[in-house]
Amino acid sequence: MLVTLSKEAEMMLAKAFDQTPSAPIAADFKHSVGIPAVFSRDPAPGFDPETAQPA
Amino acid sequence: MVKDLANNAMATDGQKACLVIDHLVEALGNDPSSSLRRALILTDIDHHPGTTQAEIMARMDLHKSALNREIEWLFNYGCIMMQDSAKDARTKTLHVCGYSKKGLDSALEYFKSDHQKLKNFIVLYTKVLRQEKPTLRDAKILAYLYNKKVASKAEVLNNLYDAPTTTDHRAFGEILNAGVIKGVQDAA
Repeated sequence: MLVTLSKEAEMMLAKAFDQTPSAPIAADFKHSVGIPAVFSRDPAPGFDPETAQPA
Repeated sequence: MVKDLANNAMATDGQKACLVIDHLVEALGNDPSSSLRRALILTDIDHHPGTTQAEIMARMDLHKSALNREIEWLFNYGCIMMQDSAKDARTKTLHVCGYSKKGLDSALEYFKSDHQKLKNFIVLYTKVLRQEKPTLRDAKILAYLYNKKVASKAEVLNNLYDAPTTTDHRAFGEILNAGVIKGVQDAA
């Protein structure tokens, strides 16, 4: 069985040694390891911002 | 040292990624099942020698219980040492030591000793893997494939670390199921 990286993974890994030195890590890391993020108070598109119900 | 610098200059990004991950495995007690999060915490402690758990929690936005487990592992495996804080007797300061320091320094050579760049490297691999708790073994599978472009499953597994075959197969299978790697006929 021959395998290769997905295009998306390959494009992301191409940046592994070409990064901004001072980029913050906490927010990205929190999401990437499955720690629940604080939910946004903004309702999803199609929902009423006042009632948070479908418009 | 000179040999390392020469290797660094000549290696491709894929080869360098494999070597960085190998050095992180060395720094974490030769345990490829160590999570990338653990590697990130170790790097953060080395970035801020004498830091405290509270400071790490704030910088990395980690839960206390999760961090406690990782700190305990790092201490038990001799990766870090704890010292009494001169400022506050209730807290301990943390320092990377011994073989961990050596392994981490070797990994940092590929980032011109910039800890933040190494942290970003670890976070990037964590994001690509899209798993709850990706390991250094998982990262090595990606780095190897990034370097080789196309490889057989057997070739990928042969270039991993000493571990039960079932562990390697399971790690490979999870990455394949997540769609991060694909069979060649599916990749286009």
